[in-house]
Amino acid sequence: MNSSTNGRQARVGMGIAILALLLSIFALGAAWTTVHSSQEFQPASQGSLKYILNRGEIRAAVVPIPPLVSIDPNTKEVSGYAVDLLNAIASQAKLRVTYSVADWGNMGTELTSGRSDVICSGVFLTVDRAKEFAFSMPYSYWGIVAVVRKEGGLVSNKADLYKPGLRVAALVGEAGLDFAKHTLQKAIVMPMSGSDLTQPMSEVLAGRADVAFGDLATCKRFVAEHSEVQLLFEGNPLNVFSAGFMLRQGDEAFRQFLDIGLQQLNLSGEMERLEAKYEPQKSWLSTPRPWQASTGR
Amino acid sequence: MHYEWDFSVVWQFRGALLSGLLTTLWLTLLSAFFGLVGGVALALCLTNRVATIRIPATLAVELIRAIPLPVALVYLYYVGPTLAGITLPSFTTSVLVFSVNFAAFAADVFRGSIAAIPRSHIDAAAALGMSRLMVLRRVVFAEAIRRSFPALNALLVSLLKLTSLAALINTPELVHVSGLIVSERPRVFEVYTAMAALYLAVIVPIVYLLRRLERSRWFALEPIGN
Repeated sequence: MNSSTNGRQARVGMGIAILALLLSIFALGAAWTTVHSSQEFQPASQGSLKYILNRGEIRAAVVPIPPLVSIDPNTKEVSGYAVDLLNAIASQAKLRVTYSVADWGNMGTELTSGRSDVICSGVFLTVDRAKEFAFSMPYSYWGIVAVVRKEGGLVSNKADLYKPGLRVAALVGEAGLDFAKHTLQKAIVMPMSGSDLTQPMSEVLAGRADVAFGDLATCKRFVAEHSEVQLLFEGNPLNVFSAGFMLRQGDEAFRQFLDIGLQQLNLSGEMERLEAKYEPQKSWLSTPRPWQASTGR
Repeated sequence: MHYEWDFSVVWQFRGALLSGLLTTLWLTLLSAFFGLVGGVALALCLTNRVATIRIPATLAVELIRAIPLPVALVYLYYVGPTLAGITLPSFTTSVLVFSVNFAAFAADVFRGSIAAIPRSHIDAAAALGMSRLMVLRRVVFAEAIRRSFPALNALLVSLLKLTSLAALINTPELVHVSGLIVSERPRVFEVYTAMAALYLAVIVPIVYLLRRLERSRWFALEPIGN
């Protein structure tokens, strides 16, 4: 009696377990088919360009940083200076670009996992990043500036940054943090680990930090929204970094493809036209044309 | 500390916030459904007397419970393509991870509830001439579901809040969408206040409804008429 009960319970249990397993396999299979019907899997270690040309598609991950990359939260439409540059390069090669959203924390993993071919955003070219990733030629140059409270602020000029005990907020992985760590020896540096570029500025707003560092465009947007804070060093940035497309390390053919595309857009004046479209006030310094560079522009 | 609030950003992006909220709810619903199905199956394996079924199930449950959700999400989403060539969309990955996690915890709840059923109830049902399947359905399941209901409710509410972790792999749920809004208009305090209000507006009624259901005749442990 007992053994027959056990046997029946076991069979019922197994039956339900198999049903659940089949359901899961079905769900996985459906997802797999959906994904793989539209894209070919590409091992992360191999060069992207031949896969891109086979697919006819560049898979770009975007991290919002207006005006380089904007994502309309209502429509999810991706636009911006960097997006237009990539679209223009792709259209010359008769390729389409598909965009997926990433953030500052996981953009590198987007590349190494093979999910994306390129990070299209205002990624600064830093030595630390260059150890892990490749970059296209720069398409813009960005100043690092500071945000402080208007009332009771401890910083009004560059000398004030060296005050002992100054609380400095900056985002991990961003150039402002490198600057603070290497230059401001007496400051209390507060590294922020989020992916929101305005997080250090919110620390100033909340009174937990005396000064926040960030790129000029982001700081300007923040200050425009919050009358309690002000921008410092706009005309004389603390440091300048270049931004470009980020790629997998060793992805030389694709890098060359992007570099040549950017060069053509620069020489044709298209880059200048797009700069004027997205940032008439010039929050960044544009890429000089060769003849302008040689004349000391 | 002086601060000028400006909630126009919330109104400007109300559609995006609602779309994020709907994704959160859909993610919760799907994960809870698949999690419950998986949980029942796992619970039957956990309570099985056959060791070859019980031991792997126990190991699976313990393993799943030991892995933090963010790790599971990021691992499946990013390492999956590299290791196995599996490139799942972020929403599917989230549903899969939350379902499996929910199933592991629900299975433990079910297992406890099944174990708590007095042996006399099963014997009485057998004495009345019920078949084994009937005993399983009318006594074991019926009682286990009633006993599990309060704990499952807590798990469901917890799941709803945990879905915010799906933002880590860019699933367009409420937290992720809020991040996008902040990147467009950096009014963090207002956007996060709205986000908290939306979570509250959804969770409080759900908790209330589930409490009512707990006391209803369908889920109350005490038989009707007692």
